[in-house]
Amino acid sequence: MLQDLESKASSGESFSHEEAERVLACADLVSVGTLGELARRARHGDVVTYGHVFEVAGDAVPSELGDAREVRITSRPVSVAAGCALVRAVVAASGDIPVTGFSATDLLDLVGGDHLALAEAARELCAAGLTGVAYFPVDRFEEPAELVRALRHGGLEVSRASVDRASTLAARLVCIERVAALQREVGALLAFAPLPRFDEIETPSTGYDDVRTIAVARLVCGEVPSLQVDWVLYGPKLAQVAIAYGANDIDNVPATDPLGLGPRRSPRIDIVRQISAAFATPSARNSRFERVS
Amino acid sequence: MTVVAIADKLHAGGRLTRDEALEFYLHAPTSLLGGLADQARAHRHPEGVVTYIIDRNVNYTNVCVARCKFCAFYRPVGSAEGYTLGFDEIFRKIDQTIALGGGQLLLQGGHNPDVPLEWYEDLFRQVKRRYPEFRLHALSPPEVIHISRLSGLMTAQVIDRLIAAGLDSVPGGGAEILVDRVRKILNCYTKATADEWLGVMREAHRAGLRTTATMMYGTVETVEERLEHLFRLRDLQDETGGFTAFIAWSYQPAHTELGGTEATGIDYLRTLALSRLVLDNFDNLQSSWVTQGGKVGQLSLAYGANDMGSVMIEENVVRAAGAQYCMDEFEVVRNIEGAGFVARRRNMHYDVLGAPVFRERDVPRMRELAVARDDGRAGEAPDLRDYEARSAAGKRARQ
Repeated sequence: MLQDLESKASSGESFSHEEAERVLACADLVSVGTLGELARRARHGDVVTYGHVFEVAGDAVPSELGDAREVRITSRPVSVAAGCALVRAVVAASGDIPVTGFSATDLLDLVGGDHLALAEAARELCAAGLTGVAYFPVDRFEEPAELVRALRHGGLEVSRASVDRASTLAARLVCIERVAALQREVGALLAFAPLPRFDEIETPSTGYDDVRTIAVARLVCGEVPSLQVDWVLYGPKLAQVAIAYGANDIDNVPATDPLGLGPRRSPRIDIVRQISAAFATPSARNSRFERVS
Repeated sequence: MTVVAIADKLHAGGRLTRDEALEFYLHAPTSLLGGLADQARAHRHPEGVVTYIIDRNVNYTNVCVARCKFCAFYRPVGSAEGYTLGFDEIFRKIDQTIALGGGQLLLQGGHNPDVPLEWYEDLFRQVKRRYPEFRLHALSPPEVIHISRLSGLMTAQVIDRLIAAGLDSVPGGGAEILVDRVRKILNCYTKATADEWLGVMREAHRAGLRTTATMMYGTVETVEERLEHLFRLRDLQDETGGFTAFIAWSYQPAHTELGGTEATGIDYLRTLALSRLVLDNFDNLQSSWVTQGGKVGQLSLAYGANDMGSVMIEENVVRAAGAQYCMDEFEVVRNIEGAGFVARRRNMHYDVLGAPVFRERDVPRMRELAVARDDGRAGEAPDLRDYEARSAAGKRARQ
């Protein structure tokens, strides 16, 4: 049903709004996946990257970083000063591993929504050792370009766009198109994680919606190099299946094997097996999406 | 034959040979496998309906002498963690199942030497007396063989007696991989060889029962052996036509003696799709959301499945091996409809019973699957004292 779009997907050319809506509405899920996979292969060939991340959820400074290529602070700071203090402590414990942290939304809230103050906060966090913001949830900002400029002005990288909440496919398409526009306007986005970080408890997102989202994000955001799925949030099975729908990067693969992830979480080396079993070539990468051995 | 030629053959309505199925599994892109399986599903079920059943998986005992290496559920005879449910406990489970709109128990358990044939007969008779319309989908082939060995009766005689007591249908558990090399490694050869498993199913079909068929893959089998399993099922279905459905699930390794890793999500979808193409004489293929999770469980509907399986209510076996997913009727229906299908309740025979129960009356949401005993208590129920125990530990316990 979507065969007429296959050559466009293979060329890597970005899909229009109408084409994206058509793909989202297509009942033939396998055809949707074919488009996503064609576009992924056009851009990345057989290679699927993965990033080992050590998450710092509270204010506990990591002592064992395992295979981490990025240390990511996921908590919300109570103030810019507290954020800087935590960053300094984490950076000191992380050696030469890049430290990212916080959500752009939280940082903007801390400074009362003022873009100039945000740039200043970014400068202070950068001086403390933070390399970039961990999350840039495009669903939270109608005009995200100015925010990116403010954060970058302060010295922080905004290399990864994310989504906090988007429970409908229509809302997800808005986010996807916002990221495509953001990349055209400010550039330098290296990755997009289109699946929401927060889900509805009563009606969680479904597998169909998630893989459709992946495929359409791949097709619409042709200028964003990497399309990610979070290993911990979405689990090994969906993260792997997403490769067949256009994802080329598995993010947030645990750098260590904490027992708290439970017996169904694969050990950190299992990521290689999962990607290989998806008929792709696994390649580790760092937080700048540079391949590492 | 090339993948393209095999696809053309399938498009033309041809039947896969073993060699073609192997070539296809090894070399066909997942999208091609899935697309053809979806077409086969749509051809057999053009009405766009996806079914499900509300029933309850009751594991009446976890005491087992089989000691399969892939099982995390069983406890050996005499274990302090062993349990056997009593009739009243099972009746309460039936009451709860009926309250949730269910009409059947999937009753399976360990090979407990201290539970004789008469216990099953008495249980089935009492269930039928109390709940005349309630269905008993009970006792997989290895359990029938175990009861045959305990009682000294032929398996066909055991089946006849169980039917007389109230058995309605036989679940396809215990098939694992129907290749004896695999069964010996997994230590499930002695509970039932491949021929014995198929033989019990043949006898059940001849006795007028409908049964399901299963495959637990992802342990030590080769791809060829996985396919051999499917072809042996296809051959028996050609012979008897007694299988209503096929269910594949991946081995769940946590807490098992065998250990290892679980097969991946893409492997599940490819295996399911190939099953739809090989098992061209099976009407129904179920999604195994209980092992794959709701998301991949829903994606199964695009790779050949036409049934979301059971709401289940209770599950003990794969939970013991690490899988702890839960979907109540609301969630099952939401996933079916979200995939673009019409959701319909069914019974074991795949007769459509109607629309979702929760749309007809208030049904409490179910956040997690129940377990054999809410309080985790071990031990056998007092009513087992009325039956003869075979093990030394069982005899001591009933003195």
